Amino acid sequence: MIQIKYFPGTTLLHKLDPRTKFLLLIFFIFIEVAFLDIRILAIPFVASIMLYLSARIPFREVKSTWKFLLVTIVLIASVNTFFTLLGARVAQPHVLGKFWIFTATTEGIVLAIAAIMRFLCLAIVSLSVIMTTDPAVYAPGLAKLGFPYKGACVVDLSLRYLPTYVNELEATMNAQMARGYKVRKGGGLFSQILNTIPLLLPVTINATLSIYDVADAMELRAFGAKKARTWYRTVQFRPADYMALVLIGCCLVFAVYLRTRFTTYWIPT
Amino acid sequence: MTETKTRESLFSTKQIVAMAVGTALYAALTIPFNAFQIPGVWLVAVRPTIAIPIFFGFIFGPITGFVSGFLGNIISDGVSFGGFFWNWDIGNGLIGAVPGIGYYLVKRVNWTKASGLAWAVVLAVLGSIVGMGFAAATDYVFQIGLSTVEAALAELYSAGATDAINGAILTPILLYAYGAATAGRARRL
Repeated sequence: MIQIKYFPGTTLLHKLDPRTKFLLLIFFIFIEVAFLDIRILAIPFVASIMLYLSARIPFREVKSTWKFLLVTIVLIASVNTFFTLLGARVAQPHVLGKFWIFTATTEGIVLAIAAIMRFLCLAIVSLSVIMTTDPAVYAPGLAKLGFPYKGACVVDLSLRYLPTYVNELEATMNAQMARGYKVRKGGGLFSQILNTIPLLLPVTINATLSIYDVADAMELRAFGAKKARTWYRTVQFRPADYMALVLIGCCLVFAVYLRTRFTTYWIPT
Repeated sequence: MTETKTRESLFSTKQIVAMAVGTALYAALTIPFNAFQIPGVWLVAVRPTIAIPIFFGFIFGPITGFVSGFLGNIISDGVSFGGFFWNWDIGNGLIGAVPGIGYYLVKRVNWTKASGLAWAVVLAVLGSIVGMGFAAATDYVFQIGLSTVEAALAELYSAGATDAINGAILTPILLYAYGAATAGRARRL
């Protein structure tokens, strides 16, 4: 089952302020949205892998997560490239060959590679940030960025609960399978929807019922009693954060310059 | 049909926790379903989990429904295939916000009755049309992967229809189960 949780560590990425990591994520989103050229996309792609490796997240624990992500991303990119016929935008596509109902073109393959690089890069950066950031510092970080504290708490609690519900889904699936439940892959849309009920229903209802207990516990600790609040954990920029911000700024300027030069897909001739 | 007692604040502690739980639930349960792509429409998946923001909107109000759909979609897309599409995030938020009408219209005691369940179906379909309509329209207006009205309509039909069917089937089931689970518990309103 997939693991999306915090792995404690002492690497540079672990030590960075959560605000720096938010900005890093936004920077990567900008790069992935701004460029279509695989020659340019290769730069943030390699950078994201290096970023992830520098975090030294234990591979054994996240192996299934990466297996799932790779299969999903390759599947999504392939399905969308073949079925939405993006290559049709090109007036005269370079046909490489025909397989069954598909026509392989140079343009289609380049588009698929570009899509895989974009998706994978952002997935790597998103997971690197989540897996190296202590959930306890999300809210103080967001509050220091100017978020209202209730909004910061929503994000904080969401990211804390995410791994809990992933595990809950796995536990529910195992329990239902022990009772004879099977994940059916065939059948029509209706049978597939009905097939999800034994999983969706218990997890959703249990989680919804827990809301009241959590809210009571928070109110007992005077949550919401005042318009502003302080945080038990504080965040503070360190020299490494300033250096990272300068680096992100320089990369952003360079990216804006590159954006003026590389505006569309690059198709090898 | 109209609620007589005063509603609590849409930003009370219970609502804040509901937003967080709705977001985390929608994100966590959607990640495995992002692999079920609809052929012919760019990055649109069959998501039974769309019933979660609809359900949360109905039970806790439009703001909670919106946040569950909006933030849940950002997180699930971000960690499952590295995508970020602001207009689809807002579209998912609207799918959760529109059923928030039910929060004001349907009394808690009617949730498990035919009238309450019928409202849930109608609002799930309406929310799906509004949310996916917004996403498809903005895709066309801002030229995000779509260049023709026909492509935008095809996107609306496929994404809107699957979300509407998922929501219309699963939301009343969730509502009925929740109503039954909370029957007689005064605190869980």
